[in-house]
Amino acid sequence: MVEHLTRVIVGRNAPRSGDLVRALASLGFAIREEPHRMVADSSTVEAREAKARLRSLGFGDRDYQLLVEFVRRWGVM
Amino acid sequence: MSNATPVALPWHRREDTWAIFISLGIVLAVTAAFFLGATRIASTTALSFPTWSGATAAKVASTFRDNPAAPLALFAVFLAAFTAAASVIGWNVAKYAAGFALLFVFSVTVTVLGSNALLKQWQLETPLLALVVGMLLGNLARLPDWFQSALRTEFYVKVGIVLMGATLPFTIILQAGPLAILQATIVAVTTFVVIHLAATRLLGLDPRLGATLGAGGSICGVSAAIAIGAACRAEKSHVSVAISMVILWAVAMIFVLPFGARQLGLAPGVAGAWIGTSEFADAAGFAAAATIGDERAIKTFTLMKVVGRDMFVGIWALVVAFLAVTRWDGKANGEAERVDAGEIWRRFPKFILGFLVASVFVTVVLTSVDSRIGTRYSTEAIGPLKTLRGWAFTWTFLSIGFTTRFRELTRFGWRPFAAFAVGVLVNVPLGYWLSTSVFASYWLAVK
Repeated sequence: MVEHLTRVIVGRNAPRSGDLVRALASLGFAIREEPHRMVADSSTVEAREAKARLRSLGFGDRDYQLLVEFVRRWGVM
Repeated sequence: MSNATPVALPWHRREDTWAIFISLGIVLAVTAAFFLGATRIASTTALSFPTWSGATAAKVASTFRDNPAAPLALFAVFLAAFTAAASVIGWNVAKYAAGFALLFVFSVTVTVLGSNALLKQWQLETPLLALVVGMLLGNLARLPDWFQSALRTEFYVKVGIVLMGATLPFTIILQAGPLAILQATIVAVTTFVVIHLAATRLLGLDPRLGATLGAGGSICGVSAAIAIGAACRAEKSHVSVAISMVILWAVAMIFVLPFGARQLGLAPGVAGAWIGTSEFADAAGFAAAATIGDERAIKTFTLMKVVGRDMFVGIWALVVAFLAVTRWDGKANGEAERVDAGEIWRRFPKFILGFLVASVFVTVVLTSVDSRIGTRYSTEAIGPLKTLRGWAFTWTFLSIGFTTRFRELTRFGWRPFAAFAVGVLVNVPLGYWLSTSVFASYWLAVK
């Protein structure tokens, strides 16, 4: 009934930002660069799964910002 | 970029933006026509039908004969506006236009039938008739793709709500708004907590699913389930289950609440407040309130639902996001994620801004002209706006009916259903008591 987007935002100056972006890319996130940050999007990896994988790789919850968007599919009231 | 969906649309491609543009554009155009002495343009577009019976069926024919341009003008105005929106949002314009044409034909048909005295006597006025026709055809027949592309329930209800702002003076919002917020907060907090506790403590469900169900049952239905589900990082399946629950109960309440209000002899304003407190979705709520058949019910419903409940989804999202990262997710390296206060704005339903702007605009117009012109403006400008609002809601009700597929709504376990049902058992009586006893005098005073 919904589409979803998991978005991870990594500050360019954040510690281990390069490692974090590489880890996200290996999880299947699409990466794009913005002036002061890197944005990783996925419509297949759910947020909790992404967070658990990043924790298992040793990243802290404050190394990145995690956003989730759900959008109702056609016709849902 | 291969796996990114176009979920995070830019502002100019969002339904809210276009609902605001279209509705405020209509309000400005009708107002300009009034002051330029061209009110016939508005009255021609605002097609309406008198009540008729078997003996007076000629009345319907005379409506078409006296104003043959009306159906075409109404269709052309909304087709142009909606297809412009469709092209920018990214829908298939040709399919959408063809689908809207058929939806328009259905809407004229159910409006003519809903104006029949006998059907009115059976309480089968346009809103319920639109729902019933839509549900029967949507569940019994396979609808063509091009028609389905025009069934945009959320888009039409947002257009209707912004137009509603133009028919609801801002002074009423200021007077009754705080009360609506108080009543809504009492019910929303109680219902959310009850559903969440039932889901997590009694039924052992995940707290994120509990929060998503609680939001759907207490704040603003599907929109809240989506916003709160995202804020607490619920799973996609959690949000789908919550949406199914909201739709099932919201559709049931379209029939139950107006029936209950009539059986209990509630005044229209009180009935509207009860529906606004206890219905689960805006679109369904407008159908239920319109079924009462009195403008006061629609006004008090709007105050309760839009002003009292919908506006606060962003604050709920912030609170739930904080709970999720501090209580439900655990912490990595001893530190929980930061919760961004921008969550409030991100989740705020933007079409409400259009509703408020429309209300302020019309109120300013009315207070800046003398009473004689004000009375004429109410009749010749706000009157047609009410009629156009009615058409937007009729397309909403038809779309609800056509898209409610009961088979698809029953794919969930019994535990989410039970948790939501417990919330309904609290929400409906509590909303009734607050509307009919505690705050009744305020709702009765709304004219």
